[in-house]
Amino acid sequence: MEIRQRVWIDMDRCIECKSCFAACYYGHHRQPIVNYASIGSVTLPIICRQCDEPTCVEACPYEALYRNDQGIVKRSLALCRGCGSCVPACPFGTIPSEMYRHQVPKCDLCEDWVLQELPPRCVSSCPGGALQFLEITENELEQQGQFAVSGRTLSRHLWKRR
Amino acid sequence: MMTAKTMEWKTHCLFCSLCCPVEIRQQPGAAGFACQPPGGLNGSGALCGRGIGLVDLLDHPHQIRGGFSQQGQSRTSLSRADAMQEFVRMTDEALQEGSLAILMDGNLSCEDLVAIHQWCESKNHAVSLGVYLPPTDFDLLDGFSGDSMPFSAEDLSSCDGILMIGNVFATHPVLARTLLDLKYSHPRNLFAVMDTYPGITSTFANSFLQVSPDGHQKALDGILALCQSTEASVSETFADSVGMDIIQAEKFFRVLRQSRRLGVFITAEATNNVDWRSVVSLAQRIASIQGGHLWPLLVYGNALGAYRISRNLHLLRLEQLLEQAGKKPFTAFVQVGCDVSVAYPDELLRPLLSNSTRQILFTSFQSRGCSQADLVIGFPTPVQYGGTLINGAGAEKQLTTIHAALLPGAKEWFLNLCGKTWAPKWQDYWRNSPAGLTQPERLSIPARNTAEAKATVQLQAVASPVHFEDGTFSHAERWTVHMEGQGQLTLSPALARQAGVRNGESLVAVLDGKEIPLVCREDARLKENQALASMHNIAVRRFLPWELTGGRLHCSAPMIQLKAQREKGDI
Repeated sequence: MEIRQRVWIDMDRCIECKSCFAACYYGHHRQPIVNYASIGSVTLPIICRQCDEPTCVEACPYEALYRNDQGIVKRSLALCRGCGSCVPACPFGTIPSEMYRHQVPKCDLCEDWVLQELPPRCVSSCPGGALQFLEITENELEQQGQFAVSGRTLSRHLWKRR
Repeated sequence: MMTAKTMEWKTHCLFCSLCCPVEIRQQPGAAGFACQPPGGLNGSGALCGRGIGLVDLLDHPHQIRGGFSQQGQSRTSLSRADAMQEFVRMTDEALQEGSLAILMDGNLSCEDLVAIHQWCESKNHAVSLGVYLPPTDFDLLDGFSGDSMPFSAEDLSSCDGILMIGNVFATHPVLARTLLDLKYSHPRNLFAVMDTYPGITSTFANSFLQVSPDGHQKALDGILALCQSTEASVSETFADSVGMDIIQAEKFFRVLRQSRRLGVFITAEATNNVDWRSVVSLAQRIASIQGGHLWPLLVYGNALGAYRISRNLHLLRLEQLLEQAGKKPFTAFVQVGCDVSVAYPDELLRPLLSNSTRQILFTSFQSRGCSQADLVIGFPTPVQYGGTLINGAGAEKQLTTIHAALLPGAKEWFLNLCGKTWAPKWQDYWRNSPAGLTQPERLSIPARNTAEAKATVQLQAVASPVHFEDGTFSHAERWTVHMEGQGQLTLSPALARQAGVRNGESLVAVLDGKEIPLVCREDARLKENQALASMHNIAVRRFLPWELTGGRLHCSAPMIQLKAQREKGDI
């Protein structure tokens, strides 16, 4: 069964509390996976989009990265050599450059939770409700009065925040 | 599905006065995971990073489980039984020679606090017993007359205007969803934020009023006068007095005035105002005129419980212990669950820490105070505390003792020592609101002169949802180190240029001959003479100019000097 939902970020709700980082860190054997990026004065979490055609998979010389039957881009712990080729290959900067325990941490969309029909840890821990686990199109978003600002980032306004 | 071997505990977080319910799950040999059960204040079951970090305290490899005594450089390990014998010997000797002081952490459970008091009573009142709460918690509760305002999401949903004093989303992130749901549910629901710096909460404000440190009273006085008068517009005099243009001031006042029911949240950061008591008092009057309520947000989970116990049992505060020690040194100073040496500069604590003949520390981890203590006794971590705490809304919450077999808590230890058994009537000490509290007088604390002639930058120590380094609850696997491994100083790009540094470069803050190295982080929203550092950084807290005046500990935002720090080989 393919998982169609993805993590979306509502810019109008992110309070930069880093709870998503903490939840992900403890849920993934204390590996720092969530990245952050500043856009103007706003700092938002950057979370893997689980692309349909992932460039990180293409870039991996050891075939350690692959897209599984659930549509999740995963990393094989046995095959990864920690070469870091996937880091610059990701156009969204979601793979941290920090080499940790000789392997590059990679978001697995909390497959263990999602298969139990729970949202990923980062989403369930978000105090502001900024992270949402949705399967939604841009048209459906507009009907809700929201816009996809860029990729999977939502806002109620096109040009300003909040 | 969880496997059969997964262990689950339900307890409450005590890292702020919201006291979120926490469910901790752990599989043998694996890291635990903490989350909030669905429902509750947040509605969605979310926890902030501090609550999630509670799992760091499960089976922590660095936890002190026995104890040790120290003489000079030599350290002797002690079993629990030996540590108890040594404690009895040292306190008996101290009482024969003079007087003993005990400072207990306000975040212990109510039962723990009362049990320590019972032990002190058994010593014929020869012990000076104090409760430690952050000075801002004492101030907020004094200003609120020591009572509480029940708070629920339903109460909040009837508000159509919110005034937040301070950076509420940084200090109490779990409130964010409820507040943002309210804001986005109707365009009429507006946020007004008053703070000394443009923190994350201000970015959600429909109107943001930036006041100078210690400037809250002036602004609130003006707003109160406007709310009480029939005048519907802001005068230029008021706008000038709070340092904003009249259009901004009009907008801020309109948000407050338009609301039929105004919810006011107040969170205090020590350097932003030296007299939070009068700020609370003024905010409470504004809330009641606008048909709403004030909810003070406290640092300690059990702040209200500890406050009630301290008032009902006439216990002392750290300030009073310091004053007593200044007049006549104690023969022993015992800290239970707290270590003030990580929070305040040495010169302030000298009467207690250097002048007392014996030092005894009950602590979970190696902290700064351990190196100076004569006797260190292992103590439960916050996830191992058992008993009752009173959250900021006055509700009783039960803490679950996790891994109880490891260590007895303060209740068991001290009741055992004095041979008493628990009496249910002692619950009155935290269930009854203290009587006889009056509205506090407004303080007048003289402005502080800094020794730095060239100091032009005002430093504010601010709260952050990310606690870091070992000043917090976690001493080994520190997720926050990935966020902020080294202390940061946030300043405007113009000020950074002036100081000769860029984003990520090192600089030194100088105050009265003390220096502290920090990393520059630029933020264009800050004013040119403003610099922010995290209050959770031990070095920053000890760098601040804490003062003891009129029986109160306070710290105004100091003027500091900045120097670029270049390492050898730098150009």
